[in-house]
Amino acid sequence: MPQLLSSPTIPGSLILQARLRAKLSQRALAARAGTSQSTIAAYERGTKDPTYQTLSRILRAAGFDLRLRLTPHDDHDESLTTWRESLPAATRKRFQRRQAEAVNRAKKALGFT
Amino acid sequence: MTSEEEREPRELDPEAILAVLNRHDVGFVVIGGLACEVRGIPLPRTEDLDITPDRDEANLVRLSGALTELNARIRASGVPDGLAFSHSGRSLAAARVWNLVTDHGPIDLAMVPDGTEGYEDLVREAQDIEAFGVTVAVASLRDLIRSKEAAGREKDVEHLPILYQSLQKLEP
Repeated sequence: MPQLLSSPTIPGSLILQARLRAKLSQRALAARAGTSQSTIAAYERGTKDPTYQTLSRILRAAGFDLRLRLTPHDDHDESLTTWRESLPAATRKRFQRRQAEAVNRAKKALGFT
Repeated sequence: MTSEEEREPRELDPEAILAVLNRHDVGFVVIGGLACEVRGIPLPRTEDLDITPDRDEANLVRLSGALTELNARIRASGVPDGLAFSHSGRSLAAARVWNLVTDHGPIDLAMVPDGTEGYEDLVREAQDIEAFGVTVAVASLRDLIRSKEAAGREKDVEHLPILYQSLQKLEP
């Protein structure tokens, strides 16, 4: 079964996103971007962070540009954090456990490890 | 999460919220984390319910009635129980987003989610799905992706690779 690919970092997630959308292997993207497969893998794993210029070059090699813009702050996440932290610790732990269980169930149902 | 599972009173209870919305005959499309969960996408379970309501005036009046029954308050950082607010169909129409907390957990009203034209756009490809004891319109996976691509928040960037891979599996 294939592994469900994800990245723990923003640059890694952007590279993975671009690679998936362009249907490129790590090796193919690395060749286009003038770097190594192991470097692309390290960026996606989050064990290495590209500079902004390097990230842009890699994304461009996959056929994408990175557009940045400022938006007014939305306190959605902070307000949710306030609400979450007002719940008992045991409730929060139980929720985290159920989150993990639900993710694993969904992965298996889709045929991922 | 089912009603049989142990639940802290203030935890998100989608079944309770959706039942109230349906009882008030509110037209809406479920989006966000719960939509992903219902569609079997392996993303972390959401703590809030995100919906895009129909902005038709009469529907927003019904939504206001549902929010009253849910004891909806404005969700604010540093205020665990939220802030009381008076609302009407007209006042709900005035904002693009409402981040609320209810007696059954948090709910967000996204009138026009990024990358979409709102309810009329999302309902076109939405599917009626039996979930949490009710039948609800759930945004399509492609529309969820479209909205996240447009929103571009950090969590969207992290979630999109999982959504793309899920789409490949579900719609090869």
